[in-house]
Amino acid sequence: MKKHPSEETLLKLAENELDEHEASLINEHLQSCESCRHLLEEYRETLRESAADRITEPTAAEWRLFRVALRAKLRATKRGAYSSKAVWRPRPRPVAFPAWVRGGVVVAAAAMVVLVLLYTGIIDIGGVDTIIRGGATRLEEARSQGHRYATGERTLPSDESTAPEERPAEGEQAPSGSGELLLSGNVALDLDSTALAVAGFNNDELDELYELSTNSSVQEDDDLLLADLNEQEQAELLKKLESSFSM
Amino acid sequence: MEQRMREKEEELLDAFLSGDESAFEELFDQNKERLYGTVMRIVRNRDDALDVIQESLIKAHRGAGRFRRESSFSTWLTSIAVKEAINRVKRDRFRSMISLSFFSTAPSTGRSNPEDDAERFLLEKRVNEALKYLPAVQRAVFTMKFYERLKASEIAELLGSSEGAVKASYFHAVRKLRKSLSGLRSRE
Repeated sequence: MKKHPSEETLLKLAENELDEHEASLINEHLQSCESCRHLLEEYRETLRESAADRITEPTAAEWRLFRVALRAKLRATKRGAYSSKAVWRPRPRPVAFPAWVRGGVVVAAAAMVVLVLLYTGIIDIGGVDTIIRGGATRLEEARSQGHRYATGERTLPSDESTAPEERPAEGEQAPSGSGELLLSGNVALDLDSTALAVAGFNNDELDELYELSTNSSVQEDDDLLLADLNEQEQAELLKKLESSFSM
Repeated sequence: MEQRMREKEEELLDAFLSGDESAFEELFDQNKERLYGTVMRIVRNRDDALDVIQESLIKAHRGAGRFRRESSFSTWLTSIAVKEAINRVKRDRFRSMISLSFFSTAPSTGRSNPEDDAERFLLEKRVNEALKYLPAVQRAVFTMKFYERLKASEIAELLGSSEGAVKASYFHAVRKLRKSLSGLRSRE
């Protein structure tokens, strides 16, 4: 046999599905044909390897669960409530928060909205300014201690700008400048750090806002190491550093 | 033996059609392992396999009254399940290509030699990947002929196809497997 056998024939030979006569003809050809021998060996290897595919049967418990789900679905089918969505496995239940937590979240969200509206002057209720004044007083304390959010000219409104007597009358334009937080020159927030904290900004976010508004980087904790030391400790640390560099 | 099983099936089917729901469950019990093996090898995912079997059983439950008994009940049920599995693979082709893990088939167990385990692991992974490359119908035909040892004529009956088409499909499946496995081997 001079002509190459088809791949399909080689597969049949690999599966012992050829009759004796056909098989002997092919074997004769294989003795002189390296490429067909190689192909036949590849088919044999494919069949050997494919036999390695194994599956794991569901356990008895899984079959029981399956049966329960099937019964439920068959009942639903009879009632006409059949859905093609499979239900053989239990679906995860959504987390159920207690009512007081859900209520608390709603109240907190509402309080946040009211505070923002009050602070931006959209609505005005007597007495709430006292709360804001409290924040402004703490701001003043922070400023006297040199806190970075309390000292920036452009980042913080003065107490006066939040005081009720300084507010513009209805219909008047709010004075620009000291009370604004400028972001990238395009966005201006009329809120101070207290309000930002009330609005839910954490320290990292405040740092970011500060950097954006001042184009400066915030001092990292590591930078404060030397500032935390007294003069003697600073001298000792510097000495150690110098000696380590000189080694 | 086969005749006796067929008679038992007929009895159960009659009982079910007379209103005995437990007879339907017994019919399923007689076929569940074989059914699972076939479907699982086609869809290559445990959850999908059980979903497909459930859908097939619901179809069989609803259609049992129209079953003409030209074949055995188990052949009819397998036919429904295989077609359902093929549809599932076609529908989820892209999703399953991405999400199915090797562990959708069984990992090696009970071996003490780590080298054997590693070799076995690689082999099973390779075969699983190669089988997943097969188109749905070829995968179904290969499964039924190679693993279930069904004849081409039986597969043709199950799929509602011709014997010649089944043989051609099987050959194309093995040829693709040969190429895939060869490529995967050379990558390792």
